[in-house]
Amino acid sequence: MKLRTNTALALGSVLLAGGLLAGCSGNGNDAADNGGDSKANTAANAQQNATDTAAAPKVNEFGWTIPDKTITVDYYTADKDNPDKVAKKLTAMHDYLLKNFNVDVKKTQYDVDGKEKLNLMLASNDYPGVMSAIDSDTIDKWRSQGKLIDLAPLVDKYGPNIKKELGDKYNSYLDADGKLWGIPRGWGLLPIPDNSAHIRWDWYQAMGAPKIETPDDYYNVLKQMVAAHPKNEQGQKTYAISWNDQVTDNLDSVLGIWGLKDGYKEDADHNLTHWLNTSEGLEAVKFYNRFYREGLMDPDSFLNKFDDWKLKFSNEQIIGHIGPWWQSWNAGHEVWKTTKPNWTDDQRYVQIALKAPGAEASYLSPKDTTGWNYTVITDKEAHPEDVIKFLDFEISPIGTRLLGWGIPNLPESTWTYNSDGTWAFTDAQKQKLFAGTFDSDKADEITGQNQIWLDHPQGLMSDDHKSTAWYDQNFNDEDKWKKMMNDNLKDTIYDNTARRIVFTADNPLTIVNQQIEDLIKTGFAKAVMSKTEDAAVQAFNDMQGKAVKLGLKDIEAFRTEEYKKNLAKLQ
Amino acid sequence: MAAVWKRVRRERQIWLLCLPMIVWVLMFSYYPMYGLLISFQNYVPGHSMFSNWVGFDNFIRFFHEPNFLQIMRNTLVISGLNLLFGFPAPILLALLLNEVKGRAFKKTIQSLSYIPYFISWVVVANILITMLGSDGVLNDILIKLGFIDEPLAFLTNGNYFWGILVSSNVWKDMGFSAIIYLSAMAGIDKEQYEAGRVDGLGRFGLIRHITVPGIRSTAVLLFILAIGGILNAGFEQQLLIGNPLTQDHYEVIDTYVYRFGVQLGNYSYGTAVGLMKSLIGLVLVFIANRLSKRYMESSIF
Repeated sequence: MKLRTNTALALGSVLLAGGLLAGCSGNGNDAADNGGDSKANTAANAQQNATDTAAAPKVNEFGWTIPDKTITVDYYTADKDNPDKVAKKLTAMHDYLLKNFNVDVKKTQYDVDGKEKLNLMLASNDYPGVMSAIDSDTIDKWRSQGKLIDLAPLVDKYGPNIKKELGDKYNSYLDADGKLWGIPRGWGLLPIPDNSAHIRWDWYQAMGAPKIETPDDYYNVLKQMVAAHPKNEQGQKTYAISWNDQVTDNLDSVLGIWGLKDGYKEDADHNLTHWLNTSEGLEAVKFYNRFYREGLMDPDSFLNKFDDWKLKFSNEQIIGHIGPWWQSWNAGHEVWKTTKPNWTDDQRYVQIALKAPGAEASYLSPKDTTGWNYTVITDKEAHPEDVIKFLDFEISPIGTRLLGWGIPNLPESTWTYNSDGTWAFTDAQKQKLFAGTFDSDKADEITGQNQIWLDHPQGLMSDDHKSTAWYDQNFNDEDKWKKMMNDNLKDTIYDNTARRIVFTADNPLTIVNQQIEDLIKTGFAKAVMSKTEDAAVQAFNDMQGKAVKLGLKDIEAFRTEEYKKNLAKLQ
Repeated sequence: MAAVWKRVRRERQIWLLCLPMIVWVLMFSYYPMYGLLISFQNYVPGHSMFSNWVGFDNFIRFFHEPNFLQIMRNTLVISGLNLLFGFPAPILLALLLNEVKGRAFKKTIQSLSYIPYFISWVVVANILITMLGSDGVLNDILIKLGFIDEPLAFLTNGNYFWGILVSSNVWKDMGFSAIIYLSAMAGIDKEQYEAGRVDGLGRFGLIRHITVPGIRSTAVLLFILAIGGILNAGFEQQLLIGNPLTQDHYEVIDTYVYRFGVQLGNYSYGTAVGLMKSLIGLVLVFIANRLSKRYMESSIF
């Protein structure tokens, strides 16, 4: 009996410990299995291709020379997203490319911080051959450890479109030794606004549409609107303006009304002064504080989560707004279209520009044409030349259309494409877009719009100078309200490429910069929500004093130096 | 040594039962400790674990952080308040539940009391915003009752933040923490209560002289452990309930490490601050244990 007890205990312990260890190694096995599948697929493709080797090279209707052997582009993208959703949306385009291009694109994406994942990959030496959404700082880190390959020779040999499309800008992506460590994605100038002031259109018209040009004009109109509509249908108090908790991330842009470019004032010699050190910054704070003091600002402006804020907007509690243009569409009339039985077309928000007196211009929408980030090829890639060939196709106008607008010629497609190279937008989808019934999630799943974005631009395409990879941005002139917005805001858009400053992890100013950003998040909110103007000015001065103590002058000097370097590089 | 082996042999069945847990602790609690080395380095992912030594620079840097005093103040105040209110609350709840005679009623109350423990902080934060926002239920009630004319800024005024945070912590954890005290009370010999009654003790007398001494060792154990966690003032609740207007009151060591260590990629710095926090916690556990041993004749080791 004693022996049996001991044996049972020993077996139980071993099983438990074994289970524990097996559990720990589970992921590794999964990964190995996936790798096995992948190898099996590749082997199957290779076998298939071997039987086709006798056939002559075939060029498909997009001008792509279909390779005998399947090209595999297996990449990780550092953009954060739900892997299941991503996989679902990738399937259609993956199958289309495999069938028509003999290119097997595999994308891995996780719902975790991309930088953290990349650091883990680097530390564990476990990373794929291609990676996208890589920022300059990360490129630097990986390059210094010899993990990336120089793409310049490959682009010289296999990337004529890459050079042609990037044009003069190509050299700006090279390092001092002429090496190219990443190919940009989402690059180019898309001249559509990002930020604006918003006005409730039907109420504005009912007031006789008084002139709104300056911040004070806007304040006066909103004040009158609140007086005319002090409560919504549910009896809740209305506010002239409100924000959500993301406002402080976009603060530099909404200060553009006072002539500040991306939060900085620039002199004739390109020296930059942070808005905290300018009278314009103080004016901006006083302007917003006035709304608060007079009970015209939502007291939860720095607290609202986006969904709660959206609810306030759609409940008609918020009359005006200064921030991203799409927010009042998404939270306002796009909701009313579906919820208000008697909704009319003029019950909506319209986006307008404001310019403070004395400001040379209103700089609401800074545009960085460099691109969001880069696609890189690592030392683990067995066939970098094949990857470059695919990237070269993707960056071409027709590649951009295919990857941007998705698969053509399907009943749900947004465009049609003919074998002679001509193309057209599908009218049915366009009308759905204008009517606000276009289902972009469904379109993503069926046609794979922008599901693979390795190096195509978001700026205007080089062949017609009007198409863009964002399908819904191709008809701005045909949509009455979009046209009105673009006309109102056209002078607020500016090229901000040279202001792209990278704060690397090893730069001691990175922490200082973060500390100042934190200080501003808190300080700006406190200043705006001060009960008197004097208190607001005091809060502004306190914030400014603390920022200078933290090293604001060093940040200004660093930004100025880098800005001047970038200007020289871009000229 | 021989005596140790002899003892292990004698208790081999118990050791075999413990083996999986020992493996678990070694694997997940001790093996990763080698990573603490990076707190003495300027670690760059991908580089060797044994290069770029910087000594105590990362530790010293934390003390020179401009917000150091504010972070420490917030950490200690929030933890202190959690201890002050959060430690006795489950004891009181357990004592009250222990006195409830109806079994079904007692079980129902007990179950209801620990449900909040299983509600995620994301949900709790949303409940708080709905309740305490300027358009929230509480402001509505106060305005309708005529106590205030304008909504109170419960969530955007730093003065309220600690109270809201500690109250929600106590509400969330009280029921679940009471379970351990209830089980300790269940272990008290019933004959002691009968003897007490015979000696003329009333209901409060029984609680004071039998129940409370009966759970004292459990309470001491949990108090000592809580002292060890005094620098753990919370993390997700701060990030979810806090906002720019209350940051002066919510930034604690853990949120600071997350933002400046993890998010900015300063792993060495983040690890150094985390290690320092753990060491202080360990020292506090030893001190609390020693004091408890001396003055309360009860300790955990």
